[in-house]
Amino acid sequence: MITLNFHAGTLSISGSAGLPDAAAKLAAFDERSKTFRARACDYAAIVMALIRSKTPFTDCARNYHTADTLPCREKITPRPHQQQALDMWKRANCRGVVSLPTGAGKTILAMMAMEYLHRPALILVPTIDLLTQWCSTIERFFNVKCGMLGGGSRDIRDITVSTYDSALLNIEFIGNRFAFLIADECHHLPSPENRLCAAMAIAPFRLGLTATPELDEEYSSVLQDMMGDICCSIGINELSGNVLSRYHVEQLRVQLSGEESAAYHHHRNIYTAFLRRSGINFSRQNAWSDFLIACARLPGGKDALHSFMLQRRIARAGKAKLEMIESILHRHKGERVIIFTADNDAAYTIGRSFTLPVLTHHTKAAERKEFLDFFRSGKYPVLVTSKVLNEGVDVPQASVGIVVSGSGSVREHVQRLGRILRHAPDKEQAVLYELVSANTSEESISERRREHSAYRRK
Amino acid sequence: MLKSEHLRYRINTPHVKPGFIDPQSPFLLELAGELICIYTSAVQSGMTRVELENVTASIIRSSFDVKLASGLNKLLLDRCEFSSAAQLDYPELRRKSFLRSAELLNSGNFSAAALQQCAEGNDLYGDLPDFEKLSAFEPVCASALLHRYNLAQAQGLLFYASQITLILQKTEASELRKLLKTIKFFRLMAHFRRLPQDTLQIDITGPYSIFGTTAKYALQLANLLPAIVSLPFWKLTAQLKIKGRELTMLLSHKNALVSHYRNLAGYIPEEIRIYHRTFNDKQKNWHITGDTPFLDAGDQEVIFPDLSFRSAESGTLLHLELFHRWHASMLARRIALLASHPELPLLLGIDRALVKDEKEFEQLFSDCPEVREKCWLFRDFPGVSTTVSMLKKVEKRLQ
Repeated sequence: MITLNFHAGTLSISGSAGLPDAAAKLAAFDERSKTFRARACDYAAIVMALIRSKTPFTDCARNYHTADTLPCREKITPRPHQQQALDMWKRANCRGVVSLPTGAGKTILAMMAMEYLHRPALILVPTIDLLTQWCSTIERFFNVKCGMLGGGSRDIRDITVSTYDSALLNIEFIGNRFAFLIADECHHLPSPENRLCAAMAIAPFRLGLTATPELDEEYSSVLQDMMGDICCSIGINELSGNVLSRYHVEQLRVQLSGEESAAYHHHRNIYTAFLRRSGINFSRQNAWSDFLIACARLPGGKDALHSFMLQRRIARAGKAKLEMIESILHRHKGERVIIFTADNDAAYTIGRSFTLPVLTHHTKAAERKEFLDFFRSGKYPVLVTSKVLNEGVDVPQASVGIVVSGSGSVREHVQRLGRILRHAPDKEQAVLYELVSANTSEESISERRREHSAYRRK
Repeated sequence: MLKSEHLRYRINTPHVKPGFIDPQSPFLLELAGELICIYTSAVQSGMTRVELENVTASIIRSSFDVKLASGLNKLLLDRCEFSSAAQLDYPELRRKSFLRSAELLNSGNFSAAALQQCAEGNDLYGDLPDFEKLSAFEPVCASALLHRYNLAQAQGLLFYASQITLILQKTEASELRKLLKTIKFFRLMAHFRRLPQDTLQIDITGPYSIFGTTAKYALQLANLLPAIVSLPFWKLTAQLKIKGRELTMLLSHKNALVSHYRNLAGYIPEEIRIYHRTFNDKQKNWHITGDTPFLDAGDQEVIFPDLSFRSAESGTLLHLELFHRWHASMLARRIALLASHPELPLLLGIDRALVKDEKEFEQLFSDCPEVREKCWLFRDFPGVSTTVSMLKKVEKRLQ
């Protein structure tokens, strides 16, 4: 008789004589253990193939309950677009990716799916802030204690929220304990490491959530393999003014001071001359690491690196930008403002200049919670962050965003816009300011990151 | 461990060769000594991280090989412990300052200068890692640091490895046992092939590796290397993928790599080390023996216990094998073995993560209740008092 076992993130199939073709093509013979072995994520397909071919088998792989484990505490009242998304996901056999804009209630959709399935669930999230936020939401809607994996916690329960990083370390031990896998911000899932979080789990039911599903061909195919097809996609413009706050985006060009401009161009010239000399082209792959290698090996490399850092620092957080921040804070007196920077240095410079709370990966858990709580309650009207608040964290009270600096990533920019789009009482319109140092490389970076429909509307 | 920017290697497709240094080179010994000196005096003067960085940066920048010097520096940094600079209660300082600045912001009557004054001249973020103080430095001599550097170069390349193949010659059973124990400890899988002339081939990968190359086990493979280099005659072939290129790294005992686990026989994982200490502090009637022999139960069944205990009074020797959450598949086999070999002086400690509850634990012994008395549940690592009471019980039964 065929026996399925879960072994360190894989499915070990013993006594495999008579394995139906549909299952056999998903397995490979493992010389090390002298058994057939399959990816844990193919568990559902293998079990279905065995059932369809009426092949008797013993399932020792699954280690989760099927009984009702999820008593509700608060009734979930879905909004129409959430109900629509749930229906489409159910039609896809409870396996697929849902794309909704930030603030459209992806977490609530997940609660609805959990309530529908009533199965142990593992939720993957990219950051510790999202981990605590998801746990609070789960405990609000369901009468269960939520398990946490990550940020110093290792408490695994029927409903567990884990960071991708911690899941990767633990999935080979716990991959058979959950029937339902939810990947929040699932555009992170296809990376070579993160994809194993889904591949080494047997969960037959899967839900991917994202606001930015645009991925290259390879990553799209991995996401589809791990989580299923995109079964529902609703754009930011379809919900603006109704489910999401009305918003506008304003680009503000700031002029570097004469001194800063001279220093910027001086260092920019040293850096670009070095690039030309060493034949480095940043439109090619691995150009950054080639640049670093060239800096270490070639004459003038150390100066070029030093100049690169300086010109970037001037463009990202020069005096003119600090003055512009001050002016925006005056304009939005009494509103909740998030200031985004590309790096920690710039964030702490702003924090020190205006005595503002700065949230980075250095901020310890207790203070991180206090900053967010105080910001939500209005005790702190302004919060500065580098990348920590880019994704997912729920601060609906924020109505003004100031992008002081950022990368050319469209995803990062859309996610930052998403932070201020959530509906809140008394919030009429959200504004995202993008500060760009004129006549610097920031202009082209800004062009790149604005290539999204959310920024092109009139 | 070294980061990718510290690695020195040469690619001659399809091979990659680590850039080993000569650990006897007077120049290198001098450079290593100079860096060690800085760390030794830095710990005495309680330098901050950023101060230490500034001092070492000058040596690194002026060095004839910047990459080599920063690699050595990284290995020294790994031996450091930093403690918080907090003479001030920074969270409290920040809270007060931010509440003051919030008041100004909400009033609308503010300037950048006025906001800055809310910090009352304090550096609000003086507790960032840059300002942590060096509190401890694990000493090392220059020669050992250079040997560690060579090993770290090879380990650094193993971070790109998907699998390694080992060829071992004339390896004694005890050495093999230690290696197998380490493979088991790092949750890797080995496929053994006996070759002519007393040679053994071991392919080492992770369970998921048969579905394609993955770097998931690379850290475990890198951690295994110090155990391998302690063997007398070995050859290692590692399959690597660097920047999309499939490459092979060849290493052998001829590279004269030195394990920083000074004596692998003495290599004990941290949790076992703590357990040893606690056991010896709390317990006088039993002691943990330094060497743990393997138990041959016949029929190709060889057991490598994790700990062995000898009774001070009777001299009885009992062994303990621990089953953590990653040993689920072996547990049923071991229980069956104990049922058929009741004479084996072996106890089993079982991690609670392996069974759902007490009921499931009891069910493990439904066919062999006598084995139940040799087994108990623990969480993460067994407690000393439970171990001792189990040792007493089993000793009595075996008599």
